[in-house]
Amino acid sequence: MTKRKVKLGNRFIFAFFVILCLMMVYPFWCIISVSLTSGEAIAKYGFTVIPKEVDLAAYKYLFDNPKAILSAYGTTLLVAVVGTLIGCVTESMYAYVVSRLDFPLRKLLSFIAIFVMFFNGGMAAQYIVYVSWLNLKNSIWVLIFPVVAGSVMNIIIMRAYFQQLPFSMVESAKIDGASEYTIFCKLMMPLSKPAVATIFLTLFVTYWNAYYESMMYMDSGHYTTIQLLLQRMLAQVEFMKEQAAMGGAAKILADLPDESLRMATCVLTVLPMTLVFPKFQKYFVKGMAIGAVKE
Amino acid sequence: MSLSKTKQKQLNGTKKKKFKIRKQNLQLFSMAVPGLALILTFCYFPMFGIVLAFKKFKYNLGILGSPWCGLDNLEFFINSGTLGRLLKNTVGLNLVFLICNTIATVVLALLLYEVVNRVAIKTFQTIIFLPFVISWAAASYALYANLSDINGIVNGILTSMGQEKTVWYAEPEKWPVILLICYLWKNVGFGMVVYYGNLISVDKSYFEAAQLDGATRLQTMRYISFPFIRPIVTMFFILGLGKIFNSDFGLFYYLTKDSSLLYPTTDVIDTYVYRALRVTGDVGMSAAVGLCQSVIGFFVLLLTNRLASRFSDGGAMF
Repeated sequence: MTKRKVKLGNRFIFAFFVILCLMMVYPFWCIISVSLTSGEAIAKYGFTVIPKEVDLAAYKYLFDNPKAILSAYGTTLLVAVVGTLIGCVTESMYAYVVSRLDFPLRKLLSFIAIFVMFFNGGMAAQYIVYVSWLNLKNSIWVLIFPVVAGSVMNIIIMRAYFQQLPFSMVESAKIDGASEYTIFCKLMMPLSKPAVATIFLTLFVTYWNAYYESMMYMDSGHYTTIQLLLQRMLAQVEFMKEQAAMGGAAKILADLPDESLRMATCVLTVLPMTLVFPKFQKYFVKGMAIGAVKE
Repeated sequence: MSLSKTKQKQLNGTKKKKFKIRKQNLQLFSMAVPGLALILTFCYFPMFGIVLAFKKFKYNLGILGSPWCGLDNLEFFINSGTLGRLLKNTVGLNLVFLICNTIATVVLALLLYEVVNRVAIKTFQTIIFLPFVISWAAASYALYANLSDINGIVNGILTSMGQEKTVWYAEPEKWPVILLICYLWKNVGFGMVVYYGNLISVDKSYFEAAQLDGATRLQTMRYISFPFIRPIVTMFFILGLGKIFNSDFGLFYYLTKDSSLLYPTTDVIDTYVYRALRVTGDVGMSAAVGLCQSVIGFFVLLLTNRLASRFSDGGAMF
């Protein structure tokens, strides 16, 4: 009797998760579906969940005219790779220093890092200082450094990981005459691969999806990241539609990148994330699990 | 004589040792310097910009050269009548998001723990986690595909059912729910995976013992599984509460396509400050609002942390 009940419950839970997963995938499916629909079909039926006439014209157009999307990809990749490397090195070194219980300034340095998680000067203060004192308007560095400085959570994750490694190793290495840099590079880093993988992936995803800095500090014609490209494409069409509606300029409307083309661009920006990162989700989780261990 | 000599020796020893430690500390400190420099330059240095809250900022005069104006900026903001709306939207929506997200993630983690099939568990986890790595800009395309007034999927279904089309981007009263769904879609997977990760590290014998004692499935969830993840749930909840005045900017800006018709229910402090800064160019006021936001948020965080350390052991952040 109870066993039957348990089995029924199991089936129910299973069905629930299947439905939930379908709901989770639905938005992705919508974008793909529209990107595969031809312009005429959209004009006739609107967007549909299942494309009425499958048509690869949008992708073909993108591959024939890849300039905008390629340059956005290039910028994003460059920023993500450089930023992630800088972030991994600086953050793990910082974390190593604050993880060392025998280092006198460790509490102060920890506080400096943790405090910015909870307090900042606000958007306007930051914007004006970045622009007028640090001269970061339209500079590629504004896409790189603020993200590293803002991911102090990574420092906490690394610190917690370093702290659970036996300190006696460090001590014996010191007795053998190893410098701190040797200990860090040859001993601590190889032992901390899971934690490094975690902050590497977190940083990379953050860079890939970062929109704020490029939106705030990049004027059009300068470095365009893929997120900025997406946003501009959606906003531009709205703007031009409004103009066309007001001025009756049907020609502008006809020249717009059509809906399926925009969706196809969106698919291309989302694709790398969806293909690669679910495989690494255990690292995100591991990172959080380590980070949650308190001091 | 001999005693003082040994003392001298000891002293020398400690001195040498101290010097050695210092040298090593210097080396250690030098490793922290790059990170420290980045944090100081890009997080602390901009805090000087807070003075803008009390200044009438002019671009040609710079931050230091602009004239002081006392609390005029704040007064202007308070008199502009948007304060109530912003507070209602920011705190209201974020609180609803946080509570719903917490409940949903805990329930999902507990349910996932009941699934036996390993392949199924992995698949569910991966799919539910997927939206977490998607940007709001991309998500806004999916939402647009559904809600576009001319071509949207939802409107297509509505017309096929003989109902009238809805201009979604012009109907503010529907957006709290739409945003809540989107928020959950993106964030639920992360919390679920984290809590589930905590659950599987629990010793299985607790559950076996409970089963022997005849506990039902719901009882084991309520009295065994949940207490184990409660500290980390509390911690995430407190973190969320501390950031209640800071909204997920992309959610409120991209998904609504910054449609001014939706401001009554979707305009939050962050989007308002952004517009004041970049669209209307009122630097002083946006700095004043940002300062209030930061200060109040900070105190809320301290308060919730105090409460957490009082009411649940192990739930406090620091």
